[in-house]
Amino acid sequence: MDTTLPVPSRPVPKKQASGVLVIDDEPGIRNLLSQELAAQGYQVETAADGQEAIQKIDRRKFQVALCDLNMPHVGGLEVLDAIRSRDSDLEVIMMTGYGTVETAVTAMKKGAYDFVQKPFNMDEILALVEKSLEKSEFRRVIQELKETKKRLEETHIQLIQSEKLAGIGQLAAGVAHELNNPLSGVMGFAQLLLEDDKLMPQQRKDLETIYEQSKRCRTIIQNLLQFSRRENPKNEPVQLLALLQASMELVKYDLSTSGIDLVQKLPPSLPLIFGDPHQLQQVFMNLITNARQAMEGRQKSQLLIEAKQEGDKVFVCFRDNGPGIAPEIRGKIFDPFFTTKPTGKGTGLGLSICYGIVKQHRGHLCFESEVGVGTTFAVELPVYE
Amino acid sequence: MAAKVLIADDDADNRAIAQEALSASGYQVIMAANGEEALEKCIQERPDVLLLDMSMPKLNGWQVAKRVRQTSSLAHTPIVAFTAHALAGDDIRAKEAGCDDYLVKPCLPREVVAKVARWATP
Repeated sequence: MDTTLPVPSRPVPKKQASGVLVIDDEPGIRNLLSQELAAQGYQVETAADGQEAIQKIDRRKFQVALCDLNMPHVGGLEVLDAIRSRDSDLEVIMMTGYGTVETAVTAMKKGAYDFVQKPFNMDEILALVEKSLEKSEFRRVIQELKETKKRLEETHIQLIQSEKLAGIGQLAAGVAHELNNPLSGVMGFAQLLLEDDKLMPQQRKDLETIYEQSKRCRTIIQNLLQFSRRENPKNEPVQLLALLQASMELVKYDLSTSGIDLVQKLPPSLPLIFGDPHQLQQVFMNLITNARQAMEGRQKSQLLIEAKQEGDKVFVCFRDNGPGIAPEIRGKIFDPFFTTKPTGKGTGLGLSICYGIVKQHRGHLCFESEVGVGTTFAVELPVYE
Repeated sequence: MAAKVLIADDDADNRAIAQEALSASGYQVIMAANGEEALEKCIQERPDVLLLDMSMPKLNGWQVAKRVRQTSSLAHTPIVAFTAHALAGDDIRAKEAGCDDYLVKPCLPREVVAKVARWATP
């Protein structure tokens, strides 16, 4: 599992990289501030009114804005509103001309970092700019920490999931193995008895039921053994694109008879994958079958199959517009024997097997779902170098 | 003379099923309930096909297969590995142990006959 997490850097603001926007209708103040700030190493731009300021903010990223409160046309408070609605990271220091402390307080409430009163002392401005940069740096670090925490939690959940599945897999393999011999007896004797021409019709019917049901047991046991497989039966370079196309060929007819529109977004070529083509095909077929069953009987059903390469990974997504997966069962869908299908329709092993196979291929299987909108399953596989 | 098949399996039901199916298809069947017995009968009876369960007491199927291959008089006896493991790599392991073919349990009487028929006609 990928557990490399970004380590937040120390919150030291870099002046060279920090963009400061000076917004004032007085050219003298603009020039003075931009010279002083540039001398400190900041990248300074100026705007003569609110409109120009907003245009510049839309064009590039600034870390700090020094904004005059009293400007013609678009005033400082309006600029502040516009900034807040665009960029929550940009710190704004308001500059007020004459004792309008109330307006300054309003600006603070609207999210300005601080205010200075004109005529101002240059050291005071420089100190404020530096402090506001520190604040934005702290905010960036906090954001990074939050993301790291989220990733850790996700990794933790994944770990629990794969541990749980591994445990169940071992148990299942043991049980399946023990059941194989007695099941051989049931199936074998049933088939031998069926060879007898002198059977009464009812006896034959009963025997056929025994035989059919024991075959079902055999399928379940084989699925279980497959799910708990620890090693790769095959390890070879796989043409993923051809494999996907072959899988779709197989399900095309089923999908069209179920009234499902199959949309393919496949690139002209995909990189090679290392692994077992049959197992991977099984994953694709399983996901397609699940999608088909989820959408069965609905109007305007569509299955979108999309594949793309991103860096050293390949993603294959299966997006349906079915009913979606209820939030309360999302944590269980990979559990063996968990199924929403009616008794006898599904063994509840399909997604468990898919999960196991994708893991063995050093990939990830994940999903997104919204009730009433649909579900997307994504298979992520590493590219074969 | 009918082809002779040795069924080596510690599970009595499995032996009985294979025996019934193979006899009905015209094979001559002999049986062994463990690995040691299987090896002895192989040497004494010189079967045309050995149907060999891989997990048996005393000597397991892997060991039996190796010893059969080391015995010059039996070196070319076809061995069909019969296993309940169905685990990945078992087919390769069976080949490496000297088996010629592979049958996964639980399998049906007809499948047993079909597999044996690949190596010897009744």
